Amino acid sequence: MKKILVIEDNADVRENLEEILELSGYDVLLAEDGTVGVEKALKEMPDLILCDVMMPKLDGYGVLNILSKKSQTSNIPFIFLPLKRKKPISAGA
Amino acid sequence: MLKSSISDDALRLKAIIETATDVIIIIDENGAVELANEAAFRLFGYTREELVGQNIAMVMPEPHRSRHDEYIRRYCETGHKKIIGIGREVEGRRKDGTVFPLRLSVSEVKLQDKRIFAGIIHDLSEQRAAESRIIKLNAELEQRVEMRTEELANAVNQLLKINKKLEREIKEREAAEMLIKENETRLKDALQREKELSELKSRFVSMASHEFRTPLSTILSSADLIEAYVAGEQQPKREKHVKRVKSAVATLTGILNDFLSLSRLEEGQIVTEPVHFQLRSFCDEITDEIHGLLKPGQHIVHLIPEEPVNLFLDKKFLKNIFFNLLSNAIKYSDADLPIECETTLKDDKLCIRITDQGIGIPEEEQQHLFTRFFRAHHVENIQGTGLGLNIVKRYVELMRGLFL
Repeated sequence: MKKILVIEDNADVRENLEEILELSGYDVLLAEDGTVGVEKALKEMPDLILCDVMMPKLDGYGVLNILSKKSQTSNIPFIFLPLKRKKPISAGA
Repeated sequence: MLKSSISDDALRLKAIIETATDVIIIIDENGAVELANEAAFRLFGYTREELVGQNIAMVMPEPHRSRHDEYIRRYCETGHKKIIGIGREVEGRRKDGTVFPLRLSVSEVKLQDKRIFAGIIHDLSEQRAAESRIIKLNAELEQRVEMRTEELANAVNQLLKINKKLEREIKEREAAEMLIKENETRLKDALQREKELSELKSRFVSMASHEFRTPLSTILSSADLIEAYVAGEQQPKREKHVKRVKSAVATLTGILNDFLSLSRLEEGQIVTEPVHFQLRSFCDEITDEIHGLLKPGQHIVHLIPEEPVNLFLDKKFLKNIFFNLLSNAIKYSDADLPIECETTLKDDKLCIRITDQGIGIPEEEQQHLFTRFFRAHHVENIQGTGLGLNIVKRYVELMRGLFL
């Protein structure tokens, strides 16, 4: 089963995404902020990362920056959940 | 020898008298002319024969002509000098009847047997004519001066008139300039307001797009899931999502309410409606209502006076203030930390102090504390409208309160 990591600070949105993806047959991992997201990505090596942009502590850009510099995670597809676009979003980790 | 010298003297005297330009006449005590020189005949127009031996009064105009004998008689009786040794300006009368001014000086000579009077007369006609010419010239001059003065006065008047007109024009121009300046200020103010509004609008759009998106995406995804859960036993899941939708709607409603109360506050439509209530029971109500917002381990510590405090304030306003401040404290401090809410009464004034142990607001950004839609830079990624403190400020001001 394909593993998807959801990094999202809003609990309702996070849980709804989890349910929808599970119903579609994916194994879902959850992270409530960027720091936890980076940890889980490195540990679990998901097949896809869905990540919120605006989050307290470490935001989406920070997560992408860290993961794209690590060789083991740099090739994981990375999709921003565009809740607020402040800067142009680059695709792919 | 002596005789000849006397005769020389008489000749000398005669020559002096005859060549003198002034008239010299000698009369006796009766006024009869004993001697007159050439100048006398020239001046009065009489021949020697016509004048010598005649009464001197004939060369005088009236009234002296008739009174002269009397003058001499009175002098001889009283010795009271009116003209002798004094000299006087009087008038003379020529043979042809014309009268002219002259200066007369008379001296008295006492001889052994009689006395005589010697008169020296100086014609003043030319002098008078010159004088009258001077007077005439003077008068003409004065008239000219007067004319010039009048012309000058007219010119001055005209200048004054022009001056007044100019002053009026200057005043009018100044008033117009003032008006222009006022208009300028008004336009500048309007432009400033327009700028502020435009900035506010863009801040609102950016805030709204962020704040609305999260609850809206919750509603949409929950709706999708409700649609997906079709089996009868999945009812609890459906109910969970219905609850989630409702909660997201409540969040949206809250934001909208903030906008509405802000716009009503700005339009000045809201008035305070004070009622009597107890502080303690009010604090209990607040605690109850805010309970659902607390993070795990968070709790509100109420510090209120021991004795009952009866308040007379707008309860809705006060509740709104507490709610905003406490929900801020909850939102921006971590779980397990207490939030202190101290309420004291000081000089009949209610003093509210809420203390949390959260992230706080950077000192350099505190000046924007009450600016609408303002969010401190370190909370940009935390949800919030940036309206709460502005609303609190307005409510506090409506109740005539202060921030310390």
